[in-house]
Amino acid sequence: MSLVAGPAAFLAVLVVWPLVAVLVRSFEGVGPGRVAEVLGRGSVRSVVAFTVGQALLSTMLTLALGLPVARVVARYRFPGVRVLRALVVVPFVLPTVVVAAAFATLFERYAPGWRDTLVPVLAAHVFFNLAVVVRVVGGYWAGADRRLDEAAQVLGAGPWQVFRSVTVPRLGPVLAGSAVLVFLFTFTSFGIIRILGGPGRATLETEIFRYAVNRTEFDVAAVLAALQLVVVLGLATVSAAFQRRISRAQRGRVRPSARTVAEGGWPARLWLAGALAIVGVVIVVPIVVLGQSSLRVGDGYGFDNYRRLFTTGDLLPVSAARALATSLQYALVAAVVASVVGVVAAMAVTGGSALARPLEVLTLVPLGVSAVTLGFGYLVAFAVFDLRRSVWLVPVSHAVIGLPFVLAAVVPALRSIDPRLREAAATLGAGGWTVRRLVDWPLVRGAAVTGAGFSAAVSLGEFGATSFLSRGGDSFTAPLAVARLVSQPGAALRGQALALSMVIGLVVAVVAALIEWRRGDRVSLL
Amino acid sequence: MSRAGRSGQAETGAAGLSIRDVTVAFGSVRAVDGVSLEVAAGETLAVVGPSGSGKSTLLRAIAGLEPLVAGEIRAGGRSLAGVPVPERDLGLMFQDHALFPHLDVAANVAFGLRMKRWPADRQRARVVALLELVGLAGFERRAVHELSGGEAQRVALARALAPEPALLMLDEPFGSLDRVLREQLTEEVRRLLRELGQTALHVTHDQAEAFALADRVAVLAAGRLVQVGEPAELWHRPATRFVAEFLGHPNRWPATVGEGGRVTVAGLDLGSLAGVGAESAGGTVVVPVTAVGPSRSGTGPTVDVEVGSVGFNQGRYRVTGRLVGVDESVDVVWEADEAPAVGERVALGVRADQVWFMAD
Repeated sequence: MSLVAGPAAFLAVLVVWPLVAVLVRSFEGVGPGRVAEVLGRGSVRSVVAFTVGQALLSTMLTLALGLPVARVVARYRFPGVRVLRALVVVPFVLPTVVVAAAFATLFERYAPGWRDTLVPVLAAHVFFNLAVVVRVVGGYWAGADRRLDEAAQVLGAGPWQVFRSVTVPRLGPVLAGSAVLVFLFTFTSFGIIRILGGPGRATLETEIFRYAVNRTEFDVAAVLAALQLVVVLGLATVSAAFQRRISRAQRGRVRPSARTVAEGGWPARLWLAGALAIVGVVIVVPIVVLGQSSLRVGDGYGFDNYRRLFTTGDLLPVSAARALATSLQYALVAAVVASVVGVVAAMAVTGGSALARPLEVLTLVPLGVSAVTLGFGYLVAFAVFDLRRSVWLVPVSHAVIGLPFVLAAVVPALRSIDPRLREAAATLGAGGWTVRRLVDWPLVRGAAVTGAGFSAAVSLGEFGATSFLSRGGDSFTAPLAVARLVSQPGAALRGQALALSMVIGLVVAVVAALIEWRRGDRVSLL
Repeated sequence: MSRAGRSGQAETGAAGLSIRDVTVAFGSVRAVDGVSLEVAAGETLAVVGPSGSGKSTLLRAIAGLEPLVAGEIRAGGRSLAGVPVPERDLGLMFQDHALFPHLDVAANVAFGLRMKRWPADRQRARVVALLELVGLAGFERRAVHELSGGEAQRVALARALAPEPALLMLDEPFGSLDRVLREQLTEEVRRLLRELGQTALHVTHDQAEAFALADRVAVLAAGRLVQVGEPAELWHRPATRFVAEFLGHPNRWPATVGEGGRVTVAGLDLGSLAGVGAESAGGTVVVPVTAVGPSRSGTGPTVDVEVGSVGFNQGRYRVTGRLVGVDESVDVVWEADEAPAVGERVALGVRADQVWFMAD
C-alpha cells in the first residue's frame, strides 16, 4: 500500500542499507579467516568480557536499587509522588555526556580514590536506567490486582509469603523484561564509557569507534559491529518476547487503589524513606553537584563558566554557544522529520496492510541497534556517494534514532481510536485521506507532539552517531563539545563543560518533564 | 405522507433498497447467507435476530464496510457493487453514537455536509434545522463529552440525516440507553422518519423496539432470513418455532390434528385453527400470553393449569405454571384482580381465534 511505501523507503535507505553495508564490509575481502582471527584476539576477548561483565553488574545494581523505588511509586500515594516519578524519569532522557561530566566531577571532588575504578561507570548506568525499572516494574505493580494479595492474606499468608508466592510469580516476566532492557542499554553504552571508563575499560561500542575513527581499521571495526549487531538483535528478540508476555499478563487487570503512606503505618514510612534515600543519592546528588560545580569559579561562585561558553578557544572548532545553537537546529529538524515520518509510519502500521507487521519491526530496529553501529554504517554506506560529508546526515541520523519514540507514542493512540468513528466518517462521505486528516490526525496530534518532544530530546543529547558523522565546524554539536572539554585537564575547561552540560540538561529536562506531566500513569517505558 | 404498500410484498420505489441473495463470509463461516430483502421508499424495515444472527453484518455490507461474497445490493435504483463507502449516500447511526470527540455538536452534524462541499451558510442553516428537529436547538457549541446518552444519540441521528441520505441505517441505536429513554426515543424517531418520508433500515435484537419503530420486520437466524412481515402478521402468524420463541411467545404446546382439521392439545379440543393445512398431522400451537386466562373461563375451551409462580408487571399479575397432563409451561397475563395461589389448580379459557398452528 502507498502508505507503507514512504516510511519503508526511508527506513530502507537510512537503517537497512547502512547495517547491511557494515555486515558486507566485515566479510568483504577479509573473509571468514580474518573474522575468526579478529574475534580470537586476546584484546577483543577481554573487551567482550568487560562489556558483558559491566553490563551484568550495572543491571543487577539497577534492579536492586530500582525495585524499592518502583514499589513505593506503585503502591503508595503521598504528596509529591508525581515529582518523585518525574525525577526518576528525567535522567533517562539526559544526554550521556552530561551525565558523564556530572559523575566525573562528582568522583574527582568527593571520592578521588574511586575515580579510576569501575564505580563511576556503574553509578552513571544506575542513574540512567533506574527509570527503566521504576517505570516498567512500577507501572505493572500499580496495575496488578491487589485483591490477589488480599486473598492470600485471608488464606493465612504472611507478608513474606505473599511476596514470595503471589507477587514474585506475577512480577517475574516484568522483572526479567526490564532486566533485559537495562542490560541492552548498558551493553551498548558509549558516552559513559568513553568519558568515565578510563584506560583499559573499553566496550565493543567504544572499540568500534576507536578502530574506525582513530585507527581507521575499518574491517576490524566492521567485525566488531557485526558481533555487536548479532548480540543486540538477540537481546531485542528476548525483550520483545517478554513484552508480549507482560502485555498478556496485564489483560483484564484491575486498578487497585493505592494506599496513602499514613494508612500504611510504619512499614510504609520505612519504604518511603528508603526510596527517597535511593533517589536522593543516585539521582539528586549528581544533579546538584553538576549545578553547583558549574557555578564554581576558583574558591567562590559566579557565572564565569557560562560566560565563557560564548568565547572561542583552541580546543573547540566553534564556541560552545555556537555548538548549542547547531544542536538546537538539529533537534528541530530531527523532531520534524521523525514526527512526519513517524505519524505516516504509525498510520501504515495500524492500517491493516499485509506489510504493516514487517514495517513495525523495521521501525523498532533503531531502538535496539546502537547509535555507534548506525553512525559507522552511515560512514560505510554513504561513502559511495560521498554523502558522508553532507550537513544533513547528522540531523537525519538523529531523526532515525528518534523515530521509534514517535511510533511508541502515536501507534497506541491510533489503536485506541474507535474504528466506528472512521466508519461513521466514511458513511458520511469521507474518503481514506479525508478520514486520516479529519478524524485520525486530530485525535493523535497530542501523541505526535509527545513523540516529537522525545525525538528532540534524543537529538539534543545524541553522541554515538554524531561522533562518526560530524565534520566539525558547523556540524559540531553541544554533546561533542562537552565530551571534548571534559576529557581535558584544567579547571577552566571542566567548568565550561559543566556549564554547557547544565544548559543542555535543563533544556532536555524541561521537555521531558512536560511530557511526563502530560502523560500520567502508563506502564510502557516510552 | 405518502406511504408505499404496507403488505409483506412491498413495492420497490426508485429510492428504496433492494437486496438479492447477499452472502457475507468470515473465513468459512457464512455470517449472512443468501438474504434477499426489499425496502420500499419511505418505509422502515427492522431486521431482528439474536446476537450472532448476522444482522449487523448485513447492515455493514450494505454500508460497504464488509465485502460481499455473492449477491447484489441496489439503492435508489443503482447497484452499489464497487461503489466505495463514502459515495454510497447512506446514513448510519451506531450504537454508542460514535460521535467525533474532537468536534463540537455542530461540527459533528455538519461533517457529511462538509464532505459534500455545501456552502458554509447552508451548512449552518441545515445544522440549526436538524438540531431543532431532534429537539436539541441551541446545542451547536456543546462538546460531545458534555452530552447525556440520549442527547448524544439525537446528535448522531441528526448527523446521519443531515446529508439527506437515500437510506438511513440504525444499528442497535438505543442499545446503550435505559428503558424509559429508549421507549421515548423510539417513539420520537418513528415520528421523525414518517414525517421526513425517510427510507430506513433498523437493526436490533429487541423485537419490541422493532415492532414499535418499523413498518415491517424481518427475522434473521444464523445468517438466513426466516420471515418478513408487518408486526401484527409476525406476531399472529410466526413461520417457525424459532420466530415464535424469539418474538416472545412462551406458550408453544405440542398438538395433534384430528378429523376435519380439529386441533387437540392435551386432550382439549381447540377446534379448527388458523394455519392448519390439509396434510397436517402433528405440530405446535402458539398461544399468545393474552389469549389464555381466567376471564375466558366458561366461554370456550379451557385448559387445566397448576400455578407455579405469580409476578406483577405493569398493573397486571403474570402467572406461570404447568399445563396439567402434558407438562408444558404456561405463561399468562392474568386479566383478573385476584391472583391465584401458588400450587393452586385453575381452569383457564383459551381464545381459539388467536391461537396459531404450525405443522411439524
